[in-house]
Parts: sequence; C-alpha cells; structure tokens
Amino acid sequence: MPLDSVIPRTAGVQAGSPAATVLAERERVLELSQNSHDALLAPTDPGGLSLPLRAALATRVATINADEALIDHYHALLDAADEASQSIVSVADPTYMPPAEGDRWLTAVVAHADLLAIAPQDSNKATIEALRAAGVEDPDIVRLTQLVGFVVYQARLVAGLRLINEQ
Amino acid sequence: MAEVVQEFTTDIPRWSPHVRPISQDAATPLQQKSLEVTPSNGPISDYVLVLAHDPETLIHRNPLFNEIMSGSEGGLRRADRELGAVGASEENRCIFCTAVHSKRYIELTDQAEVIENIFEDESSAVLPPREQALFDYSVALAATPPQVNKTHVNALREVGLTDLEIIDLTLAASVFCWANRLMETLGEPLVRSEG
Repeated sequence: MPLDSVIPRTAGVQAGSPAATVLAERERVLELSQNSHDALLAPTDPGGLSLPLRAALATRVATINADEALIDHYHALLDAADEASQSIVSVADPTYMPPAEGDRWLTAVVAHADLLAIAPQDSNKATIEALRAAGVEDPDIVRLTQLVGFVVYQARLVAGLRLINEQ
Repeated sequence: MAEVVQEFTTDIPRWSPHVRPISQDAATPLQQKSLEVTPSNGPISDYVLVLAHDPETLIHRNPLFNEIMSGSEGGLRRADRELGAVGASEENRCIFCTAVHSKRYIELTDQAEVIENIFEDESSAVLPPREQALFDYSVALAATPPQVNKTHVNALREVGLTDLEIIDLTLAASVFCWANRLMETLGEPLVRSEG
C-alpha cells in the first residue's frame, strides 16, 4: 500500500522517513484501514446517514480531537459532496448544535456523535432508547458508532506516526 | 435482572446488546460474508451480530482488529499489545474490554500484579519500568484529544522499544479506542449468572 493511502497521507508521512520504514512492514493494516475509511465515508448503502452527513460528522470528531490534518481531510470530503444542505455543513463545527425544536433525528445523531467521541462511558441503555425515540434506526446507530470509532482510531494512529518522525 | 458491572474485573461479564442483533437466518449475502472473520477468531457472538447491521464496514473491521492484535509479523509481542489494549480500555472505562484483555495479558505474562495495580490506581498506577512506559503511552493516547508527546515516546525508547514496536503499540491502543466505543454504547456488561 503506497504512502498516499489515508493513514500515511493524513499523518504526513514522507518517503524515506522512519515512519515510512515501519509502515512498509504493516501494509495489510494500512490497506484494511483504507477499506474501513471508504466503507464509512463512501459506502454503497449509506442507510439513513447520507455521505455529506458522514463527512460533516467525521470533521466534527476530527475537530474534537484537535487534529488539523484530519479536519482538512474530512472537510475536503464535505466540500466535494453534492447536495450538502446548510444544516449538514453546520454539523462539522462541534460548537454548533442543531436546534432542539428542529429536526429531532439530526439533533439526536449529532448529540450521540459527541457522546461517542468525548465520553462513551456515559452511554447506557437509555441513551440508545432516546436515539430510537428520535427515529434513529438500529442499523444507523451501528453505522454512526463505527464512523466515530474509526475517526477516533485514525486520530490516534496518525499522532503516533508523527511522533516517530519527530525524533 | 442481572446487574451491570461497574468496577474493573478479570471476570469476563456477559455482554448484553442494546441494539438488536441481526438474525443469521435472515442475513443478506454481504452480512453472511462479514461474519466469516470474527474478532480473535471467536464464535459469532451477539456483538458481531449487532455490528453486522453495517456489513460494509464489518467486513474490513474484524480482519483489521485481528491483524493489529495477533497478526502483523515481528514487532511488538502479543502480551504488550494486550497491555496497550488494557491502557486504552481503562482510560475509556470500558469494563468489558478491560476484563477480556487484562485476563489475556495475565495468561500471556503471569504478571497479575500489573493488572491489580492498574485496577487499583487506574491511570496513575505505578508499574515496573517497561510496563509503565507502555501503559502511560496507551493511556495518554486514549485521552481526547490525544495527549501523547515526545516524552512518552522517549520513555518507550528508553525501555528498548523499536519504531516498529512503538507503532504496534499505537495500533493496539488506537484500535481499542474504537472497540471501546462499540462495546460500551451498543450494549452493556452484565454479571454472569452462576452455572
């Protein structure tokens, strides 16, 4: 897997660097990480989570994790998405919460993304029941959880790769 | 009704899903394919059947998890990857993942006292130098935003880790920051009933 796949690219790994040397021994991990990324950001069957919403949520989680390269990566996907409504674009900013009196489904999805990113240990049965009550279907709860989980994984992996190259 | 486990333990709880697992009989061809590889090559559990609601992701995610924890030739030894998993899971307070992987760590190392210290003092646990460096790095990586810095990496190098081993540790802790979020929100750990 070349250095232009999503993990080395967002970590800023250059050919010949120490991180590039070790990643050459972990090609399968890079390939499966790229495939996971593509399945979450550009799935064949997006279910209830549209592609623009996925890019906006990924940008939001990247921002919560304070990773500029990941923010740029996901924001570029959002910018490239057709039909991204203003309310979807706004979701990319973690200081924005959709108004409670507006779209209940979107409000519930965004609040759960924040909980997943920041304090997953505070989730319980009632959290999932509240999502259902707002009309979020089970497959979309799983898709949302995997999406946030992947970005959280990516943010940490790229942090480690950059540190290897700093020495 | 069985009680939710609140404290760290090596007694593996029963994971009870909040989201209904898919029915294997009604699984689509893609869902069936996504169940062919399971985490740590275990049985098809409720956990995997919940994740099969998104087969496009699962079909890559289980192989990725296995590659990071037990594949990836050379590099960091298995037990140390488990310690990375424990560090992240403790920081995220994932009772289920911490139980499974601290138990596996003890089986691989016989170092029950390392796990006892982590359960007692959590992220401020005092451990032997090598375990300390690995654990502290994993805990700092799991924070949001990640708090790892050069000092953590220097500590890993001082106890002898190579760049490849540092990346393997990073992968283990990072993939658990993902796994913890699945386990602690899509279901909950219950006390196993007797027998």
